[in-house]
Amino acid sequence: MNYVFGIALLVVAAAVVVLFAMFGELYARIGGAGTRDASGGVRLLDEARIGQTPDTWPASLDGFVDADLRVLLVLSTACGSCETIAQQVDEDPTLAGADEFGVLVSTADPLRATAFLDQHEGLKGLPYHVDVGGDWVTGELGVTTSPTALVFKSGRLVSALLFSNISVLRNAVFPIKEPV
Amino acid sequence: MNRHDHASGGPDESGERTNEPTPVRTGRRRFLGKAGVAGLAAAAAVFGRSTPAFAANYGCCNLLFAPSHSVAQCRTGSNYTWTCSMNAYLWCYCCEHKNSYGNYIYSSYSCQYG
Repeated sequence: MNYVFGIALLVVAAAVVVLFAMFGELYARIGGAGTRDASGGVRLLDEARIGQTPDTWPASLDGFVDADLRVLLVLSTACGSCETIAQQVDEDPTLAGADEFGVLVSTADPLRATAFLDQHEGLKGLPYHVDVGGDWVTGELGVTTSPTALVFKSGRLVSALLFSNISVLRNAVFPIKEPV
Repeated sequence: MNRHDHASGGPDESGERTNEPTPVRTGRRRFLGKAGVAGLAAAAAVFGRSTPAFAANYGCCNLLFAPSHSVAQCRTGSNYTWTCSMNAYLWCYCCEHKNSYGNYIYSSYSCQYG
C-alpha cells in the first residue's frame, strides 16, 4: 500500500513539474509582462516615411547626410525596453566609436535624457542627439516607436526596423560579406 | 524529568538527562549558527540590491508617474506620447501629460497585441 502511495505521489509531482514547464514555455512564447525578446529578429516599422530625406539634421548627426550607409538607433526615455538595448551597446566593445551607428534619444524631459546617457556611457561613444518631445524624428520621419533602427543611405531613409538585439540588427543591416 | 530537560539536555551515564551541552552539540550549534549567518549574508547580497531608479515601469513604459488616467485623456492637450515594443507582438503606448505651465502632471499607458 505504501509503495502504491509513493508511486502515486511521484506521478503527481512529475505532472506538476510538467505543467509548470508548459506554463513557462507558453509565457515565453506569448511574451509575458516584462519579458524582452532579446534573441528576436528585426521587423519592419510601418509608420516610418521610407524614402524621405530629412530637410534638416541635428548638428551631431550631420555625418549621416553624405554617408553611404548609416543606422540611427532611436531610443526613448519612456521606453523600458530601450534600457536593454542601451545595456547591449554598453557591453559591445565593437560598437565603441563605430561610425556606422548613431543614437537618437527621444524624451519628454532633457534631464531624463542626460541621466539615461550618463547611465549608458556606450551610447555617448556614438554620435548622439537628444530629441526633446521626439519633435525631429516624428516631424521629419514619422517615427514614434522605439527601439527602432533607421537605416539611411546618403541621408535618405531606406528602412526602419524594430529590433530587440543589437547584434541581430547589425547582422541584418551589415551582413558579413567575406567567407568565414 | 521535565519537558525543559528533555529539550536541552542529553542522557548521562546513569540514563538521566542533564542540562550540560556536550562538546559535539556545541560544535554543531556553532556550525549551524555560522551557516545561518552566511546564508543571511548571501541572501542580503543577492536580493538586497536596489533596482534602477525608474519612476514607474508599466508594460514596456518607463513613466514619470504611476498611471492615473486613460491614454485618451492623456493625449488631450500638451503631452509626450511614445510607443515602445516589448517584443514582436506586444506594444505599449506611453503618455506623459503636461499642464498649462509646461509641467508633467500625470502619466498613462496602454498595451495591445498586434
